[in-house]
Amino acid sequence: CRAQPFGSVPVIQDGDYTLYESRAIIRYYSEKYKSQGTDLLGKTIEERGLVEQWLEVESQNFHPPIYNLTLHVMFASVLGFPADELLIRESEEKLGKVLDVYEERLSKSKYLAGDFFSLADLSHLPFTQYLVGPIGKEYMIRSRKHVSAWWDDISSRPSWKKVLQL
Amino acid sequence: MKKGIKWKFAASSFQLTPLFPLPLYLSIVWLRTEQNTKAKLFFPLCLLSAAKSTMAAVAPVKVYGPPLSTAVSRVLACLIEKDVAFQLVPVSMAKGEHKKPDFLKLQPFGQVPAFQDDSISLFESRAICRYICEKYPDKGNTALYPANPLAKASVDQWLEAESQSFNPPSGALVFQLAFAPRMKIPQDPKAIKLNQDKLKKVLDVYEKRLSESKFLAGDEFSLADLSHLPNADYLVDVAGKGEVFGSRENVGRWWEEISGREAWNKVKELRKSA
Repeated sequence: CRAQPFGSVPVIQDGDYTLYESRAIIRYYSEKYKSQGTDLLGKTIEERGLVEQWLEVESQNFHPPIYNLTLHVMFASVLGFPADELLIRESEEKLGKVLDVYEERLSKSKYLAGDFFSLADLSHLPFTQYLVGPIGKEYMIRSRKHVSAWWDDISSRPSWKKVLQL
Repeated sequence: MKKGIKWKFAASSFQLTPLFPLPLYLSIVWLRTEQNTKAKLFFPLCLLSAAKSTMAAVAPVKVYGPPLSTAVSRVLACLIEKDVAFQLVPVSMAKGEHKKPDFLKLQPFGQVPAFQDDSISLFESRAICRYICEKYPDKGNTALYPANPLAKASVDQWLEAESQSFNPPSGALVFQLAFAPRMKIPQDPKAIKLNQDKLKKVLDVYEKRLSESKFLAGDEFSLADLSHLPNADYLVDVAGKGEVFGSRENVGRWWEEISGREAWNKVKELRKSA
């Protein structure tokens, strides 16, 4: 695939400019359109630092186990390989430990980076939607009081609802 | 391990001014024994000129973690490139210090590094690197994370490629080939083969990219290239896998260039003296 040398999606084209990697794309648009809509990067260098921190947490700690769950629970049969039950159990356990840290964080802070909704929260929407839906593990969110409230808040944003309708 | 007392000097840098030709300055000297107890001793030191030094004193920037850690060394490389003075606070992972309550306050996942300066406490090495570049835009290497949105997005794209595509297989190989033997953990031949194949595919993409561009994000060395240094260095120097880079013309050229950087060699020196 010429547009994306690693052969994955998404890719965007903004005029002559091509960009891939979803977290690079969302950073780009958040900066480009900083003065309109929600400020997804915070207002100061320090707030930005915290947004980057939790965006990296999503990327390094949250994403790997939930990606394994998605692949093996949702897509194994579709893609024609046997679901790895051991990997599913291990991934669920790992994800649970990550969500325990989130529970602690969200008991002190309305959103991950602070009292403002940011890219860090947004980045969790797609796979968590799978978790509470087709993966069938909504209990992992609901059994954690603050994670549950946070999920209700961010998933009821009009922007996310529009995405779900696409 | 060094026997006896290990001195850590926190030396202050002060400027000579005409009003105080021969000032005496107090400096704090930290005394640290092998058992990790601390005692403060105060004694006067003679005037010091404002010399550049990475031994920071009143330097507010602290990095917590062992320099042997790939993620810790990523942050150190960035700080040295940016010419930002810092204090490296050791964390003994062998003794489980990274899982103790004091450290978990800094990094709730129990991972290294953690970072502090006068206004913030942060973790995640790539977030820390971005923060350092934004906080000190005019210091040291100013091209690491450009202000121009398109140039910055290109760096973010390749930082993400490192984080999502290069880091998992290279990290797994570094563990299997460099660390597992030392930790007396049996190697997993299936995991080694799987990750070698994955890494090969990633480096094929890099080979094409680096035939069109001097560095990953463009014509200048950036955070995107820097972020590869820790894992790649272990692959080449400890795991003996230099041929994955050397066998590819453009990747080989790129690796020679980035691994020869002064800042990276200073990180390697810090590792040796740790």
